[in-house]
Amino acid sequence: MAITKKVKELMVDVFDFPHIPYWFTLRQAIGIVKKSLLDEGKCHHPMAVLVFDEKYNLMGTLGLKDILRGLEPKFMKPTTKAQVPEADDSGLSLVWDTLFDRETAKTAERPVSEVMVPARFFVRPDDPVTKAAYLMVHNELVLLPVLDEKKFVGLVRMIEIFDEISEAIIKI
Amino acid sequence: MIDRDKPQKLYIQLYEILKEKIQSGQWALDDKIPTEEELCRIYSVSKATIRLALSELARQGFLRRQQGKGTFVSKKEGRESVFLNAPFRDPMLDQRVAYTEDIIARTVMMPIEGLEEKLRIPEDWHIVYLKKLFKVDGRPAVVQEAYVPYGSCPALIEAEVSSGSIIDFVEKTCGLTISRVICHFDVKNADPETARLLGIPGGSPVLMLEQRIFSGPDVLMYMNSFAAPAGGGITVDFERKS
Repeated sequence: MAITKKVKELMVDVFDFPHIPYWFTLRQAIGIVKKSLLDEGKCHHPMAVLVFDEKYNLMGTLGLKDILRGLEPKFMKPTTKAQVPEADDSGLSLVWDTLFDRETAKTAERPVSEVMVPARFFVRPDDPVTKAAYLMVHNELVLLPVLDEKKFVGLVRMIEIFDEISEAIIKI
Repeated sequence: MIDRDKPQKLYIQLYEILKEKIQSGQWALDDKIPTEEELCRIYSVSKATIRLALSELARQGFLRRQQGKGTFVSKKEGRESVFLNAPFRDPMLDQRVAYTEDIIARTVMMPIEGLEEKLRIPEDWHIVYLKKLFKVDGRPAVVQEAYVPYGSCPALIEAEVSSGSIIDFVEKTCGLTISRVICHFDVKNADPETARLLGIPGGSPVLMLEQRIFSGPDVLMYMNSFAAPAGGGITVDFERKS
């Protein structure tokens, strides 16, 4: 089995994804996801928005799950469990339902920087695909930024990484 | 009908088609025009294209929108204006005053809060966002926010734009020529961030200059400038050409 491809052969353009600055609120991010991705029928998986600072440096990514997590009322966040049995948290969904209008209106005004997944792991264009796969698997990422020197030049997605590795496996 | 092989943008073609319907009387005064969905089907274009064309017709006075009722043909008032050839300067500070400028933000965003209509772009287009602070005698005077469709001038985000007119940069680097500028003055209450930058209490009144800068039929840039009270104001210098 030989996986010889480099990251630059699989990466997608940064402009395939919506961009927002970190000070946008969750409500504004939701509007962009709706307009840019859902209403236009552009299901560019994974559905994610890229979050930048005021100097156009990538700060992180914001996926649909991150947005929903950010909308949760604060007291519903899971606490660190000590030596207690696993609790069935599904009942909490009813609590969220009753508080939806009141609490979620507040949480929707949170800046996206509070709920995004910070961009802490990167690959370079000439890195092997296997390095990208390793970083994505071990850090539970579906998108991985590609930096050339310090410039953000693209992203690799789990789907292309999977496709490349699965091709190699099938050929064994 | 709409010709997708034409270089002209779809919404401009649609704007011309619908304007012709109104001017020829095919759509009479006070007629309710088809819904956005019906127009999508008739002209086989997206809802974003329909909205851009209808917004421009409404802005030009050909249509009026009534909440919950629909869109109607409106009477287009004939307006004879006096045209002045004016030198356009950016920023609109008094040129006799020495000022400094700092770029506070230069990043990329998606259109929100009606920016897509102001820039006449689809909702999924990227926009370069620039924010500058101008100081006169070391004191904050004007906060300027500019929005440029990324596709019009990608160099704006890639090149090093440390100072100088954004408009000059766009014209020189991207080969675009300004053909028209619409200015609108208003007084607004400063939002917390603008107030912080101008060193005034939040909610203080500030003079706002809203500008739409055109290159042919396209909006090249949408810009808002907020002047602090006693910050030197905003100067508009008209000059009649002989």
